[in-house]
Amino acid sequence: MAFTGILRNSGKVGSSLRVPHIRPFVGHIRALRFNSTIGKDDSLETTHFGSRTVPKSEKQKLVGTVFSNVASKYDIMNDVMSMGVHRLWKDHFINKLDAGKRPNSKEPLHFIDVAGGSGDIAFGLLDHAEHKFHDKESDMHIVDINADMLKEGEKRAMNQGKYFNDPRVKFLVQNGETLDQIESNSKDVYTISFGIRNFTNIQAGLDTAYRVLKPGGIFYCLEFSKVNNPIVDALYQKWSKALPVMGSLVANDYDSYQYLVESIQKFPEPETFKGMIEKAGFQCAGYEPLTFGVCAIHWGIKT
Amino acid sequence: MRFLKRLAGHRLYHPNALEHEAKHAFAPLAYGPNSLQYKVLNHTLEKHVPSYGFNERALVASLNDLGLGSSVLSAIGADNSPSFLNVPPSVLELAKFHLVTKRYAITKELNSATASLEATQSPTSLGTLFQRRLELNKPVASHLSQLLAILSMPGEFLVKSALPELHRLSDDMIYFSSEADSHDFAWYSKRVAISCAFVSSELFMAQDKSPNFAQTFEFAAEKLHHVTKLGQYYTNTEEYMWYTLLMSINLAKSQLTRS
Repeated sequence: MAFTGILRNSGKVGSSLRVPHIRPFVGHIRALRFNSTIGKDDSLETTHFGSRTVPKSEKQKLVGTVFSNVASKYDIMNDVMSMGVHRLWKDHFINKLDAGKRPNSKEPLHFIDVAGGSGDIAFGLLDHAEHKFHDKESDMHIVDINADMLKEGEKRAMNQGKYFNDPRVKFLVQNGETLDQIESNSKDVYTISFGIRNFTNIQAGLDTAYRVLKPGGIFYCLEFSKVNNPIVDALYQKWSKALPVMGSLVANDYDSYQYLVESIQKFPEPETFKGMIEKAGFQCAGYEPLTFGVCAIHWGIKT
Repeated sequence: MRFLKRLAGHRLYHPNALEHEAKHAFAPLAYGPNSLQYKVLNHTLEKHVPSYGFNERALVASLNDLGLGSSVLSAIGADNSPSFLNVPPSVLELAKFHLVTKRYAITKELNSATASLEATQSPTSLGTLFQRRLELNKPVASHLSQLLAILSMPGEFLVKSALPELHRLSDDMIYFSSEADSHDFAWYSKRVAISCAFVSSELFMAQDKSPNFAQTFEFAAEKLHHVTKLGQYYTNTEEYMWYTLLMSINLAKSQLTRS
């Protein structure tokens, strides 16, 4: 464990010592950081952006820049970085949730997929419901804070000729922490995959999830987690160091992927996150680690 | 005295006998008797499983009765992953719920019985508990083969829920009965033997057409008798072998000192 600790620390030192002139092609995140004119009182409250500490009011904008940068290469980069395993995780996520209106059930379901701009989870859930339960009634809100990511999802829907201009599927630009266009007690299934990590205030996001869900609804979250096995963890840390390099080769963007790695390391331990889900008011919270804990499915039930 | 109280009030870093986690009402299940899941699963097991069997139709019928939507199925099944051959997680949870609640039911009756009659009654025998557990299967007897198929499907559910639950059942039956328990390897073999006897009795019950399952109980009694007799054979043989072994060693030793 000491070994991985050193790796982690060296990563932090590296990123804080980096000076702009070494990598001039990725200046905009830092530019935002230096040029911002945020009021003094706002900047007192800080949060983490990767391993950097930034004012709370600024994180949202920084994350926005990251995802605007990666949107067009999102799918190919996911495949490269996870060696295709992210497809298995998402498949398992959808099969385990096993949601859909059953043939002899009365009410259709109302889904909401938060931070689901690329649409893969949302479309997967609807496909699962249709193939398994012949459910063509349940509706879906696909919500993302980033309009660029949401456009990727719409593009995908258009290309596959399904769920585009479909009255069942609505794309909405919304902040996951507030979801101010979504009514309280209106949703049956709240899913979020690889998104909650980027929230400025994770607890606020969970509280909002609790607000929009109906009693009997379920919160279901797929997110990076902590690797337990020390040997696998050592390999995983090595692999993480290679990710920004891959990012710069494939997507010509080092910093966005550096942020990705750091945000994974900053995300709370699964037990802590489970505690946060319970704190938001959910019952029977639990989690299932996937691939030695690289990823985990978390859930909670509103009763 | 005050010092002791203060000491007891402190939380210690290492695990100790003073503090322990309060046990959940239905331990392996993540929810208590007042939860939504319990309400739905209990309703399903009582009202719809006898007619529909262990499947999603029974669960959906219950949800319709209780005025709930399909999303509750996801909530019920959250703890399980879909099994091999695509048994839905909610149905796996229903099977687990059946096993756990029925296991608690046999000892619950026992607790109330001993509380009222104290020590006047002789302690319950293993056979009585065994029979009581089989009696609780009567309402779902026609769907037992389906249940056993779900439970024996190779995969995560078998390892994490079905087998441990079977072990807990035989463990409970031995612990709460007058059966003598051993502290050596026989502890394991006894539980395994009783588990085998129970599963074979359930298999028999699934096919049993006799009135009030009379043949099942006959079969179970005989099976259990075999197990206990076999256990005795085993213990006797073991004792004899040890005796012979030690005696031969001593004999050899004495011969060596002589020469």
